[in-house]
Amino acid sequence: MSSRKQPKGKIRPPKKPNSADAQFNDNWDRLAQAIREIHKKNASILSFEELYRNAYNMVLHKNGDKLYNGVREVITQHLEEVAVSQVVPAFPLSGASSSQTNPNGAGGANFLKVLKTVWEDHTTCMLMIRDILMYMDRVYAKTANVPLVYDLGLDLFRDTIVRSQNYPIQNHLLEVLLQQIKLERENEIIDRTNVKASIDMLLELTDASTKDTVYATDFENKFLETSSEYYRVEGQMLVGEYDAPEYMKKVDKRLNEEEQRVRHYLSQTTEPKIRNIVEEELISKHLKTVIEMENSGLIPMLRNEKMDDLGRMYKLFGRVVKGHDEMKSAISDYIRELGKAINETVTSNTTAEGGNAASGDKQTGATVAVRWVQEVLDLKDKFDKVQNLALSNDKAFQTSFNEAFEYFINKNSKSPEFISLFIDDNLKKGLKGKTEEEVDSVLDKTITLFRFIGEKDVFERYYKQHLAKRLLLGRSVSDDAERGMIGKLKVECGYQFTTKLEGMFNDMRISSDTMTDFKEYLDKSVLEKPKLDLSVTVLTSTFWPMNLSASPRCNLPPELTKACGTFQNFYLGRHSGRRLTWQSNMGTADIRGSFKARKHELNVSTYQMVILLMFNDKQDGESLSYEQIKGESDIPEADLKRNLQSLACAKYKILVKEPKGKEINPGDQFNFNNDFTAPLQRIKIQTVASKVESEGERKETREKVEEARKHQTEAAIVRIMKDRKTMEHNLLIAEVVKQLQSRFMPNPALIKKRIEALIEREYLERATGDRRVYNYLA
Amino acid sequence: LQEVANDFEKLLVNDEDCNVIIYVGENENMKEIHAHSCILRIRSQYFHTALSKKWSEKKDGKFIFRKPNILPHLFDMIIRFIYCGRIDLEQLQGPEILKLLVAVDELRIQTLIDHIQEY
Repeated sequence: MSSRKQPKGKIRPPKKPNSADAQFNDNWDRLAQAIREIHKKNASILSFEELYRNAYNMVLHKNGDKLYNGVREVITQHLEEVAVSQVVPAFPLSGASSSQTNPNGAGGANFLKVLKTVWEDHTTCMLMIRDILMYMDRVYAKTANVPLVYDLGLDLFRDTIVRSQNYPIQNHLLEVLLQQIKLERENEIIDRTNVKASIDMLLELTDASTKDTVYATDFENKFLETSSEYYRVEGQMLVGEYDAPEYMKKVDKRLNEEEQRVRHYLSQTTEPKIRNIVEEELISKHLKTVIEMENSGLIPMLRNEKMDDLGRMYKLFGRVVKGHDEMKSAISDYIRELGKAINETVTSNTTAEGGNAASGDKQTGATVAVRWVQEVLDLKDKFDKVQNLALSNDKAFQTSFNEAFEYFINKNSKSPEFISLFIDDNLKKGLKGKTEEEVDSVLDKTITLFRFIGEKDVFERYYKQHLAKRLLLGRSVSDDAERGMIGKLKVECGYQFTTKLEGMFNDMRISSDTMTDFKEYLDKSVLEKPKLDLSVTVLTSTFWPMNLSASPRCNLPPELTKACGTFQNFYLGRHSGRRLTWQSNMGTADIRGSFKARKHELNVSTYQMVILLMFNDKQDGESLSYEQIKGESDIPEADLKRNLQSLACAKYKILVKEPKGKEINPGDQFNFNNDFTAPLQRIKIQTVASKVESEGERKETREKVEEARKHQTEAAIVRIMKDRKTMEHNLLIAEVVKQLQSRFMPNPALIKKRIEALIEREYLERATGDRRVYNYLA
Repeated sequence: LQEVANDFEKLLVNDEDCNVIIYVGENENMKEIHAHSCILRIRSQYFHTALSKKWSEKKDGKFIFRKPNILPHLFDMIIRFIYCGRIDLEQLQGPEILKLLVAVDELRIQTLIDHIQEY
């Protein structure tokens, strides 16, 4: 066959020349030569059938091992040659000079290109060698338990080229790859195909000991290390140079780039690892710094409602473990801070107002409350928006926001009162401009605030007071709106919470029926008709927030007393066993007053009527002193002052006070103002209806609430013990807290006191053996 | 399935659209067999490689393939098996069968090896 060239392989001369050996040598010479031709890309002159048959014969004659080893040697030899002649000359200049002379890594790129060609040649050749040695693969390799010839080729390539012992190919390869990637990170254009070819090569080669790819054993770790270092430096640089939104955009871009890079020319297995590195170096390490950036961090973003930036931050920080926690706590702190500011403006306003409270303009109290609620609502709106637009309605964030709101709302001890006042304001003011839908939506929002209140029982008390005033003075927008509100409260707190409120409505309805009946009764009766129209509302005392025992005394004019008597007879005649108590402080009256200019119809409170009627008996110009009025009318002092104030110091001055001034003081003299003029025929004298309570009243309300809590706590304890019969102290406390927390947060000391009280009254006893266990005594 | 096998056998007789010419045997015993590359390639890894771009020899648009070390009548049986998946071993003598087995082993047509060994 080949006369041009002697076989180069180390083929041992036959020891015992016989026909089989001769046959073997002949076969092998042909094959070795053919493989060389294949390496020279001269395969077209070869005959597949013949070579196959040669290999077949060798294996058939038990020379498979020789064939296999021979092939290995030929290939190794070839690869050694390739290394020397092609790969080594292509080494990029190493050291610092390379980066200077080849700033674009051209040398490296060229090296990769050569390597790519070498690799491609090798694989093509190996495919052909595999073809002709197919029989060996199938028959010999399997039984001898050696790798198939193609895999053998890969292993040889790995050991002779990629991890060559003789030449620093491996170092150069890794260095060049990393350099190329670095260049690309710095926005240079690199030839990705060459890089990809090398990476694919490394991926196809298997490390003998770990059975992992050479990519994983040799390249990946180095790559990750370098990346880690690269991003550590970049992170520090970026944090120093850019503001938060800009920084996050950069990080976002880096993450995308790395993902792209992996997709284009690295292994998918690297994706999570490099992502972790970028996340760690660019996000985790700088979390706090970015959040706290002075003019661009999280708080300024919130302040300026930068939804895009917030959204980006949410997405980016969500990638790392602590990210969302840090964000949450930062936002919560911010909410608390804002909430604190709102609380502070309110308190500073109320104290400022407290100074001139006595001067009468108590309306500001209500405005403060309304403003407080409105500000809280605005804040809530703002964060709802953030939640919606930037945080994809993340539940965890919602919870922490809610906690923050709850925290500062409950910091303001007046919040239950304020919220109730706010509702009061809306249900009254509905008449003034707002549509019913608007009011409804405002109330809906208010309910969300109500949810945050810890002391729901305090709220209930205020709400009852305000509702009572609205109902009795006929000042609510509509029954529908009121019922709607109660419905909402019912949804929030259940049936128990609203029964009394509903009871109040019922009383109103029944009373109006009663009044119709009363009128009929008067028409039919032979009794002397009262000189005035009396309208009575009968209230169930337990539903309404009135204090029966402290029922305010007041000397009513005889006509009124008589009319009341008539009604009382009528009412008690229909319902036996009931007791009527007159609440004269809640009533209103229409009276006609003659002034010099004209007659006016005055709508006044009962007390004001009583005061004005006193002047009926007086001569013009005759005055009454404060003490006289007080003595004659017997109106409680606080009420008297307030009513005198509204008569003498408010918009319509029916009375003239001497000396003039806004305060009512003992010793003041009052005159009927004959010169009073007003454009309207009918005048409503405003008594200040709803307002922030004064300190004293607040204390009283507190006490009432505390009293109510005692009862509720005892009731809860008894309920639980009746059910369980016997229970351990801590468990009992926990259960009581659980039952009551929808209304208020009972403190354990209170519960403990109540338990003691119940033991004293022999509802419970301590167990004889264990003093921490209680038994229920039926 | 039987019908498919019959029709495929007809393909071999008609040599319609044949694109492979196989010269089997040596010297005076040589015989020319016509076949279809697609069928050979799909049925045998050996032919798949032999008729691939890298190795094939073409003349007038037809693959030329030489198989000197197999007897023509045996190869005929093999190619029939390749086409219709059946073989009648009854007509062969013992030594002949051994030769056939050797040839089939060289071509690595595993199903046929199993079949003959079973026989």
